[in-house]
Amino acid sequence: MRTKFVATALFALALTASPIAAHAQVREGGASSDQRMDRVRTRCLAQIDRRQRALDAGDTRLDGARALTDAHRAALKQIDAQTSDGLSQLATRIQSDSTVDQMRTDCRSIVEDYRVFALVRPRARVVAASDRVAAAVTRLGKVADRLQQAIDKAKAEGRDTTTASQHLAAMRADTSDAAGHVDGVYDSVIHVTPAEYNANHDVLKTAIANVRAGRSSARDAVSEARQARTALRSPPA
Amino acid sequence: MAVNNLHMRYPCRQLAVVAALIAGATAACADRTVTTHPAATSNVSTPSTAVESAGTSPAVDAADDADLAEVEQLLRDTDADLTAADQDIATPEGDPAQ
Repeated sequence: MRTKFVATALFALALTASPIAAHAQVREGGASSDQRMDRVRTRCLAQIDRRQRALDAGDTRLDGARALTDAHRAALKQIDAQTSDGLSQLATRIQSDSTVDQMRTDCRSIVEDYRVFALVRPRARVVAASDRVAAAVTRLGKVADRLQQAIDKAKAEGRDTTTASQHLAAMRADTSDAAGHVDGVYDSVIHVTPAEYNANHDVLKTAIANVRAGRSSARDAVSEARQARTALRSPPA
Repeated sequence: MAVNNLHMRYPCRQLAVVAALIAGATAACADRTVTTHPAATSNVSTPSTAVESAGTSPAVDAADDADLAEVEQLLRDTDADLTAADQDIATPEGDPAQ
């Protein structure tokens, strides 16, 4: 009798407690979903801030970049400004996103539709580097012209200028190589979009390799210029 | 008497000290002249002779030096930019929502 009573009481308790537990679980699930959304929102907004700071720093770097042409600086800063505006609008949208799916899409957009770190920032560096090599080529041309004058004068004085002339010819060839490597780098990267980067992550690779090759050729040209000068300074045999 | 002798010797000592200082200073000046003169001469004459024989001028050399130094600086800055670009590209952007 007593056993039957206890079993009935337990059954009744179970029936009463189940809906309460289930309700509590729903409430808990709802609360954690909101909290999770808030956490993701905060994280996404922080990622936008991080990119905005990077764009600001990039603009400052462009302002102070030596040898960067005015036209290239303006084009790069315009890209930065457009990117920054887009990210600001995206931040506003993320603030008001009410579903997980909306927020997930918008957060993904921070990376995939802007590519600040994978495309915008490295592209600016590649263009600046390319312009520097081009500026180096211009200066090397002036040095080569002066070396030629010195060789002509030394030759007129009856000196043997064979070695100096050989180094000057090598210098001119290296300078020409450097110019060829960086020619077209700007045009090859300036219009690349984040969508193109998404389709091909190596989209800047060729440009970087070209600038690197141009820098090496320019360095060789400097070495040849110094050797030509040394040859000119050596006393007559 | 002993006191008087001391007084008499004291100005002489002062004079001796002053004379020694003047002699020292003169010697130092002479040393400096001797040591610096040939160096200054060699600094001026050596490049000038070399440059003249090379058919260039110091002004041309200075212009070359300035241009080559500028080129080297530009190339160093280029290296820094390329390294930074490589690092940017090699770093995955990830998914902020994750």
